Amino acid sequence: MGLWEGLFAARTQRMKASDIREAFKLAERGDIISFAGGFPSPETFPLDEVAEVAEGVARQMGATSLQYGPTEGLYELRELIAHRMTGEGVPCRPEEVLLTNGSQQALDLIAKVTLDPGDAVIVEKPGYIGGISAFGNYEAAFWPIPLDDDGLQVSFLEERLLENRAGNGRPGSGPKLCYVVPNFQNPSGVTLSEERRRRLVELAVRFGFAVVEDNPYGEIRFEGSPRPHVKSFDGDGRVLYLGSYSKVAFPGLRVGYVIGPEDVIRKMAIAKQGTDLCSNTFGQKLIVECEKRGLLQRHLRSIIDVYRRKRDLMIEAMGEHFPKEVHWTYPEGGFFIWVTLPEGMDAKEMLPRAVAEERVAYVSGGAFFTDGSGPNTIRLAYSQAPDEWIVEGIRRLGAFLKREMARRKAGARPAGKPPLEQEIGELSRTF
Amino acid sequence: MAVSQSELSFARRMEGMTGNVIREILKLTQQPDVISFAGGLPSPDSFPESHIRRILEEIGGEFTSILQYATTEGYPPLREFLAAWVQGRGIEATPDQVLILTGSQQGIDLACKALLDPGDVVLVERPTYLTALQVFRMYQARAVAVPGDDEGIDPDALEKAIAEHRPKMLYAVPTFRNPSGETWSPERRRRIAQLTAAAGVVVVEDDPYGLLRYDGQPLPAVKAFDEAGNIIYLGSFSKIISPGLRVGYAVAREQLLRKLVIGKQTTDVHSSNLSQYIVNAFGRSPAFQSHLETICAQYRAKRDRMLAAMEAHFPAEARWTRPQGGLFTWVTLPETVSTTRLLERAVQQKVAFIPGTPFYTDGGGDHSMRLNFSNASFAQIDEGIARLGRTLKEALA
Ligand SMILES: Cc1ncc(COP(=O)(O)O)c(C=O)c1O
Ligand SMILES: Cc1ncc(COP(=O)(O)O)c(C=O)c1O
Repeated sequence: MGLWEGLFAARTQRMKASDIREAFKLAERGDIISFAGGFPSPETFPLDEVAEVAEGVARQMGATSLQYGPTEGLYELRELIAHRMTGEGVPCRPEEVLLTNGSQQALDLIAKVTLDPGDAVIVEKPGYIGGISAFGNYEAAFWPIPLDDDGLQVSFLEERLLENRAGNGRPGSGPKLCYVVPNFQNPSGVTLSEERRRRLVELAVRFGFAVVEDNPYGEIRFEGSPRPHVKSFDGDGRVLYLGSYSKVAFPGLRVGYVIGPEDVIRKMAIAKQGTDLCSNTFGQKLIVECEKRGLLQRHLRSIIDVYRRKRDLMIEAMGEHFPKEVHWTYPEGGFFIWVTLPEGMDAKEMLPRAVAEERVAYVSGGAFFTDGSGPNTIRLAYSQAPDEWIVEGIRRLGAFLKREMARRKAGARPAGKPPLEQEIGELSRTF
Repeated sequence: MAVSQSELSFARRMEGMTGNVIREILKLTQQPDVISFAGGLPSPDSFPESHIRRILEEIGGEFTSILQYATTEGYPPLREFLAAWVQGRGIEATPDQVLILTGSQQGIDLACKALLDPGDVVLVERPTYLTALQVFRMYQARAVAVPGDDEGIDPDALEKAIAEHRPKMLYAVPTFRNPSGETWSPERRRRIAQLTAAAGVVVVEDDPYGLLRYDGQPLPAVKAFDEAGNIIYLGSFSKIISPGLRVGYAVAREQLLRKLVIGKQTTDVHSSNLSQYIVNAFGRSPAFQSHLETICAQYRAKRDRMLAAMEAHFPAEARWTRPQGGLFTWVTLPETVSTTRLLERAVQQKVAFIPGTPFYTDGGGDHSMRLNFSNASFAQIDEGIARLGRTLKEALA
């Protein structure tokens, strides 16, 4: 229907589906081992305890739990978050906290209140699809800056900023925001070094941009000492810090938050009024109750053990089964390992064969780049698959990669499109 | 380093964006002795607390999937339930044509996100829901009001506005309008569906109040006349179960719905699974129907109480609507009165309302006000309307 193509907004023409849905479908097919979706492991959910808390919340439930709540979120939860952040080196008052429907909504609101079409946003290369799409929906222009084992290459960024300044010298032509996932980054698993955190904030001050620090995985650290938050170096309120209960507790109730200067939080609250008036109160009450009982702290200790074990299993199996030409990152926490295949291999093109031949799935890394690079990369999530499947899935993937490399050497093109192509085709972007 | 000011420069869409007037007024009226007819809140007595408590206690094995990420489109059993449920409004839909929203407010936002470029025109009723106006401004669209009467938007005026402004969208609350309480006639519904289809204008039919009917026959939704697939229907459980759950829904043909879904993926991924589970469980239970009857009876009584009190206490010059449903009545005063200025005096008299102007795109309506009858008790209605009547009489004296 031509009608619609004419009617949609310019931003809509750029929108692409993120394939959480497709990842889901795949994950639910019993015979396929999927390392695609970065979902928390259901085995980590503290079911009995949450059920008990939910009953408590239900018992105490008065009219206020069911009525419209404040747009900014329940004050009690804002206080708890402010208190915790203050303890983590980010002095913070409840008024500087806005509760959101998952940190995803914070990304949308930040884009909404800060970006005009064409404004530049520094993003990690590779970077989190959901963040990049949120900015893309408001017609941002991207500055992709590559990562190495210490995260965003801040020197490289500095060069680009200097070049840009020398190039046209026009004030305001530089980027407006820099979006980073500093800990156990999605998709690469790498962590930004302390030195780079400090320098990033210095650059932000010097070149007049704001930093969006998105930290859903930071608390899931398996070893080593935590790096200070980027926001702890923030002297003038230019870092917006995003947190989420999705990975440390559970995602299904959609509770996240953003911390920033009061005037920015106020603008975001105004934008949130128009977006959904307020967040659901049950999710917030449940989290408050869990926090009060110390359940989340206890839970965190246990999930760290679970995810560390899964990472170890996956890394060990990769060492055993992957061809030696393949390289990967070693995450100190979080959910993801980033795999680099030899130049010339195309992970996206290979994916349907991996599913058809070996019943194993991953996310091809190209989806995490804004500039079409990274065709030979893969993101593996160890968070969701049961332990036995991790070992078996990596064995299958290793066998598959060896076969693909042999095929390439022999110059053989695998015949025909496997039947699952249609179903897997869209599985390129996910969280 | 107490940081409270930022150097961040905001997007142009934020220029002139101030808080929602209602929310600001609500703050003003939160002193305990002020009787407020300002909010649009459902009555706390109307919440099915014990049912929700039971549902929460009996979740059992479903907890795992409730706590996990889920699909953006929504909880499949709820989408199925809704596809059948909207037949009651004359709407034919498959579950694939239903998207669960974080309140129907999100539907307004997502429709704008999908459709509006800066400078695009949105046609609206005069007066209309003010938080929708806020959203249109946020997307840098121009809201243009189309005149109408107590049967809805005037079709001739609509045709003229379409020819003159080439709008992308028509936004309307055709049933028990917020703020006026009025309802479009069946004939207007049909005509407006036809007119907009012929002109290729998307209609956002916002219907959070449709099921709160106290007299008269239920009417089909405007969406029921949607042959071209240009109508997005928005429904909500805020006023019939609980707003704190934040569950609303959109019904639209796939081509439009798909774009709303993609917008929602980056907006909040999906709505709370627990809330969706509660709505589905309660919606499918036999208790839901009787709950609806109970709250309609409650609200009917409150409406009657308020209309009677207005009859007794308001000055002869005042006119007001007699809504067949919803939560609001709309009062029109002589043009010499400014309700914006009157509010201050009313709050001194410990009673509050919403002045009319924020519901207009053009600064009109300053001699009108919106009164909510759902949230106050009988005694508060009697006393509050008496106070307001005195304030009005003083202003007219
Ligand atoms: C880096 C990053 N940010 C944000 C999110 C969104 O999380 P939520 O909205 O559930 O808090 C994710 C989810 O995968 C993520 O990986
Ligand atoms: C006309 C109208 N639309 C939408 C809404 C938003 O309702 P919710 O997001 O709670 O469904 C309201 C709430 O007052 C309203 O009056």
